[in-house]
Amino acid sequence: MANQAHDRNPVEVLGEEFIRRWRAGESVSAEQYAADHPDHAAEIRRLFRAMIAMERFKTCTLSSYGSQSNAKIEIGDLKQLGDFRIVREIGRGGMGVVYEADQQSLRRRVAVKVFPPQSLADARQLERFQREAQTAAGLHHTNIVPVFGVGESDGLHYFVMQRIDGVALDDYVANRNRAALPEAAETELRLPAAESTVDNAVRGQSSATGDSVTRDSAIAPTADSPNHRDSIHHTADTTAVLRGNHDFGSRSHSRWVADVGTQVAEAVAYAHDQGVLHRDIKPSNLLIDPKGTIWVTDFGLATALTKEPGSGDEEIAGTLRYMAPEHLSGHQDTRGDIYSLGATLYELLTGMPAFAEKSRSKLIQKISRGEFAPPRAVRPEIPRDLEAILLKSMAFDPHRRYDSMRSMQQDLERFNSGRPVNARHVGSLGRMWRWAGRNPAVATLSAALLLGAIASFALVSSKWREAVAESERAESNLSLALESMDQILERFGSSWMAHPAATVAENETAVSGVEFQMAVSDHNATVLESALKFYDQFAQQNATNSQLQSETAKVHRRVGDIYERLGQFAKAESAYRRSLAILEPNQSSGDTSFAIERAGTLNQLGLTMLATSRFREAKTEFIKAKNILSVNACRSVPKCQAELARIDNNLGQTQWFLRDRVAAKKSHRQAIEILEKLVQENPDETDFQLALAHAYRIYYPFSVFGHDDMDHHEIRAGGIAILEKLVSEFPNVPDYQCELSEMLMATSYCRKGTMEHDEQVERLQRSVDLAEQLAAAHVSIPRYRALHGRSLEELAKIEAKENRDLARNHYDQAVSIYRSLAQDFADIPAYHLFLAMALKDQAENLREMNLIADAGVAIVEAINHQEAYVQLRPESHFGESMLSRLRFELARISYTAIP
Amino acid sequence: MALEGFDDELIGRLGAGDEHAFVELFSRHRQRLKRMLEFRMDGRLRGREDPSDILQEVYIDAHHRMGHYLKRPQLSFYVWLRQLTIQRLIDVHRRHLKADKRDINQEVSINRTNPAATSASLAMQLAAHLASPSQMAMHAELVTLIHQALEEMDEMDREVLVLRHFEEMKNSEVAEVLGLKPAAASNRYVRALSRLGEILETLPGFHDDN
Repeated sequence: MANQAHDRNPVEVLGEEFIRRWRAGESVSAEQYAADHPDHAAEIRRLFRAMIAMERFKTCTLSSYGSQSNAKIEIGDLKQLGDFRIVREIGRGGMGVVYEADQQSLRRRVAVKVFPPQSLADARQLERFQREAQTAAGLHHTNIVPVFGVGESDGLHYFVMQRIDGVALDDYVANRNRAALPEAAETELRLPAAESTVDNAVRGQSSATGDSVTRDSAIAPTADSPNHRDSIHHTADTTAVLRGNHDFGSRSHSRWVADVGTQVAEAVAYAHDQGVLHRDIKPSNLLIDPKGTIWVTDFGLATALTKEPGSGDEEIAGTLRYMAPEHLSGHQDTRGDIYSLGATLYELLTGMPAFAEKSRSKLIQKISRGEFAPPRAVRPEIPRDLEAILLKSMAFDPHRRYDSMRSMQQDLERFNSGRPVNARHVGSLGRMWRWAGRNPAVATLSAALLLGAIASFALVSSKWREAVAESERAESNLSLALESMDQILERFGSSWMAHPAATVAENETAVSGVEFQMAVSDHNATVLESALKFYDQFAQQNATNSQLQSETAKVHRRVGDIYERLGQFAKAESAYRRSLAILEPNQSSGDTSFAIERAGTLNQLGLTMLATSRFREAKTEFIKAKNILSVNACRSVPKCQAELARIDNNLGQTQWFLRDRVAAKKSHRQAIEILEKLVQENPDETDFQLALAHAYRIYYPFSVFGHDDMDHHEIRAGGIAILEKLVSEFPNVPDYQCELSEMLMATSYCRKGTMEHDEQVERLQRSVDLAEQLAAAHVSIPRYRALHGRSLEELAKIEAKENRDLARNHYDQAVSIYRSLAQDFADIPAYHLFLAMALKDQAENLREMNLIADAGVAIVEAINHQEAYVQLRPESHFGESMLSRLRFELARISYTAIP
Repeated sequence: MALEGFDDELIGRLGAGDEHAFVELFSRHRQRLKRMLEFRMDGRLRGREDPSDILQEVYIDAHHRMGHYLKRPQLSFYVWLRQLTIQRLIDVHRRHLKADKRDINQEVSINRTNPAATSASLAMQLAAHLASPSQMAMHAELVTLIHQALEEMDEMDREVLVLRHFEEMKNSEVAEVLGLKPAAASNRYVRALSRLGEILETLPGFHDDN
């Protein structure tokens, strides 16, 4: 260097050295250089100052890179903030800037988080911020960063916290992802130029104080794992080194992640007990200190810093990437925190975020569909139990997550102490993985299928094409491919809403933990439909391959089931018809599973007709289905018998609508007989139990009103007992709750005087609560909305006897639910009828309350919808007579209204 | 850099067949490369392309070409890596912005930086740092002021400033990258710094900084 120096500007030479030392954190000053080199003193002062300015700008640029919100933070250089003397900036987040500071009065080192003035511009926001801060200050836990208080100085609001000597976990992940380095370069790894400023400051402090804290000791448990370095030295695949996946997912790493999870869960569970939500759990809000203790920070700040809901600002509090899907629509509770912790641990475990999309809109899209790759698909070496815990905590449906942070914590502890965890394995899918592992020939295909099904269907299709192209040569390969495809598609289906386990024959997963299911949605129906194109195409080309034919039919059926759930009956009907058209030529086959498939599909077809009030057509389909199963081969097969009973039940309802009450009663009795026997013989088949409870419920009115030999008390008690048991054992199956709600509602009717008013109200209230939860958790499913409306209406009817005001309120709610259904599904007659009936009852109640004008308005609306119903079902006598009644009612009200 | 001449030792080890030396070498320069990418990447690509992804490709590239480089190391290791990185960046720009026919000279503009873009982004950064909350109203004015000053600078001087600070290059490296004699690079740097200092001195919020 010296030999070049004479050519160079001497101040520049000094400057090069100065800035190198400055960057390394040495305490150097321009003044010092100026004093040492008096000849150049003036130029040194001037130039060095500009150099430092340039360096500062660089830090600014870097910390703002990649995060738009950071760019907004503009806080000038702070020296003093009230009692606090600012020492240095140690971090910058989406919400504010964190400084290390001395609290002069108490002579202690603290961290001060300062918020840009614009983030608390509005008075209500400020009030909320202060409220949240007070709450956070009330949290005292060994894993929560203590908050000392809030303050304001020169228009800046700030938050004073204990200064934790630690690094944020997002840096931890980032550094693991970076190339791992052998010892020699460690010094430098510890001091890379500012990637994260928190990190820097911590490191800066360590070196300044001579403290021997190194990154590695701060992230202790894995650093001393023997594979840590060995794998670096022995790996040949350079890209693997770069990605740093040398020990992600290893046993020791997994244990560390579970330990982090346990600590965080314990802290957050404590906060939940105090009624405080965190709302923004993510790696950057978790600090790890040199002892390995995790510190949770920023409790409740996320919401405190966003505008009030309904203020027109659509901004969502918290960090999108770790946000629970329901949070996107503004719903937040403890289960949102459980999800965020799950997403955080996912990232720590796999080294990549569950949702890696960079664009905000794509991110929202993926999150709101719950589409992420299971941890073991990313790193197969991850222990299954830990994966199960993460998947349970990140379940799409909040009800399927842990019921509390405490239970999540306990499960993580169970994992770390080697005990079995409560979260269930993934059943069919996991099985498929293992199966794929044993069959390398198709393993690649299956992996692509699985990932593809999660990510996008396009990816699958090409692999599928390849598989099918090879099918001539290796038919067995094709059937394996079909089988795995089937299992993947299962997840897009709707059957999880009705069964505790996926409908895989093996009972490996006959438990509540099918965590992999997707929400029933239009999107998933679309995914299935795109899969269908391929199925159809190949089914045509391979008309002789009966397995392919039946698989294709099954997918059509599944599409139908989704549409049926979504209340899109026309689409459901055409899917069922396609399925049947494929199955038809095979009808001669004596195989009972074929028979069940066909009969089941006919049964579903009949149901869509029943739902759209086409009773005669429905009856024809039910009878066809019945005939298929009324063969000797089916007599000894429980599944055949169960399907038969379900058909009887539906047939009975159709007969009732067709005014053949005797035949209806007979059908229902038959169904009960079959099912009682099946339940007795197969005590573990939950499907049979649900079907029996359903049959009891349908039969209940017959036993009450007729002179019947079956005691209605027994039916009621029996049905409720079955369902209560199912609901408590399988809290994640919506249909169980739905049926229980229906049952409570149906059986609140009884002969006069046999049930106390209070008991009726209590039952109906429970029915309403169940329905309300279902409707809220599954907004896309009209059945649950309708159930909610009906239960409210029934409750109101009972209440009207004692308290008309209360009843009025519930009628209002019922009416508005039906109104939205009638609007969303204008071509379905039943919703218009339900709405008209609810309005009629509402009007009666209002008339009794002497609110004549309101009653008149209600009855006019009732007439409109009854007319719509009659128009859709001109053949209905009932519709016509009800319409006359409503008109009469209107006349009566108008008459009363005349003064 | 903290360890002068250490690259040479590592390159020696690499030449002797030590694979780990390569990982180490790359890691040593990764931060600088990343910063360079962040600074030079087209604004339209931010958010769409992650500099880390580009660096991953560079890593693989470098690994492939390492043998070639070792045979005849004409450039210092960092400058060589930087070249590969810039080539990758150009590819990325092409891929994304291929509709933009006018960017045929992109290579030049990235390598030597697009003058307008650089001074504009520099100006924004400087102003962002200087503006204190009470001076928000002056913000726009500041940006314009700094921008003008940078515009008036010699293009090469401005580039020297960027290389020295944003890419944390030594004078010798700057000289190598820009094809200048060390003395010339040094003088340009001082000139640019003086000019910048003059502008900054006149700005509020600068003086009480130190």
